[in-house]
Amino acid sequence: VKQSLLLVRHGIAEDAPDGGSDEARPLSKEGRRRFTATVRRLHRAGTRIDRLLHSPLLRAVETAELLVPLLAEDGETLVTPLLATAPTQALLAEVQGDLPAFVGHQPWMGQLLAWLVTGRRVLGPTFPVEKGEVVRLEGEARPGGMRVRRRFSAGGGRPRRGP
Amino acid sequence: MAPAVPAARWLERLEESIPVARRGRDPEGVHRLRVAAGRLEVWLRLHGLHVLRDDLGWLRSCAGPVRDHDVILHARPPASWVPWLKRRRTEARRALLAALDEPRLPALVRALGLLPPLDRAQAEERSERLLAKALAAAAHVEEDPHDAGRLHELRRRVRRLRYAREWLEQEVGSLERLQEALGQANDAAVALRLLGGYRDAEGLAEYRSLLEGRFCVARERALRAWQEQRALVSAPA
Repeated sequence: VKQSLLLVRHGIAEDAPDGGSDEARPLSKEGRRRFTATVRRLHRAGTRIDRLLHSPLLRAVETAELLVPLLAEDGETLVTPLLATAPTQALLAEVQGDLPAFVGHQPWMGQLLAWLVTGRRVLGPTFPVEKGEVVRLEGEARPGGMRVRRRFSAGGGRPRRGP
Repeated sequence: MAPAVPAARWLERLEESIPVARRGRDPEGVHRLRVAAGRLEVWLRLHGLHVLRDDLGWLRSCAGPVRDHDVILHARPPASWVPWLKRRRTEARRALLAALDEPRLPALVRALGLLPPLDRAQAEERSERLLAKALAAAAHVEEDPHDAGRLHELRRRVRRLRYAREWLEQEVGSLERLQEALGQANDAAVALRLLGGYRDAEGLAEYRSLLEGRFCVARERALRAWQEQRALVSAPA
């Protein structure tokens, strides 16, 4: 079954204050501005998300919120701890619907990308996902079953094709 | 500068209600869980956030069927209907327990705990939008007071407005009374809906008439409450 998936790494976040929690780091102004521009490009590309899954960490929650304008009318958002840890089969089982989006963190987004494209999670470091980057995958949601269709980098510019 | 409004108070109540709902000995546990989730959902609206609202809606809807059966069973329905209601409640409770064990729930609590407090000035502006929506829903009911769906929508809007005003420490007295009347109409409507799914309901015609009567009385009371208190509702203290 051919499926599509958007992998999203959270936007640029502020540094944690001394003694502050890493989990509670919000997006920086710059991160918010850049990711909003990415969302506009996704919108122009006709992107319609029907399931928006995100990690519970604040920077992922805020990034997911910026993606909400792309959510289909009957689309839903869902918070999951599966995106705040190394990718598992349980996470692959969440690839449902026409176009789900996963908002998470490095190094796990890179591991997930490597796993879906090559079947090998350990190749994560060779498939890095930048802050605020969106990777569109197509294929079967199983290890080695997908390929990269497009990458929307946070820095702007035209979408790239391929990994 | 007006103090910001953190979610902590109702987040703590949500966390406290989860083990009580899970144990199931006190029906108030499920009720408190739904109320806390509803209040936090409004807090997110006042924050201008869409994310996490679906998760709270999911939690409320998982607890809803248990609460519906608890309310009907508490109101002493006809004895012949009780075994069916209890069986259905057991099924609903099983589904709720499965939901409470899902990793989505601790993730939701964790995410809510990381959100910054509400900016009160922005929240007050957003509260005005909730008022506008409640007024629109009330106008919709006045066009056709017999439409149970419109009444249900008004109940939801009034609940959100009340919770918003409570977050912002504004007067809610009139809203509370209106919400109570709308709640009574809803209780009767839910009982009628469940009775509609009961195969042996033929012998309960008299009870059905009683419920229909309760629904009509509660609806009239709610409409009167709305008309009497419209001005108060429209003007927050």
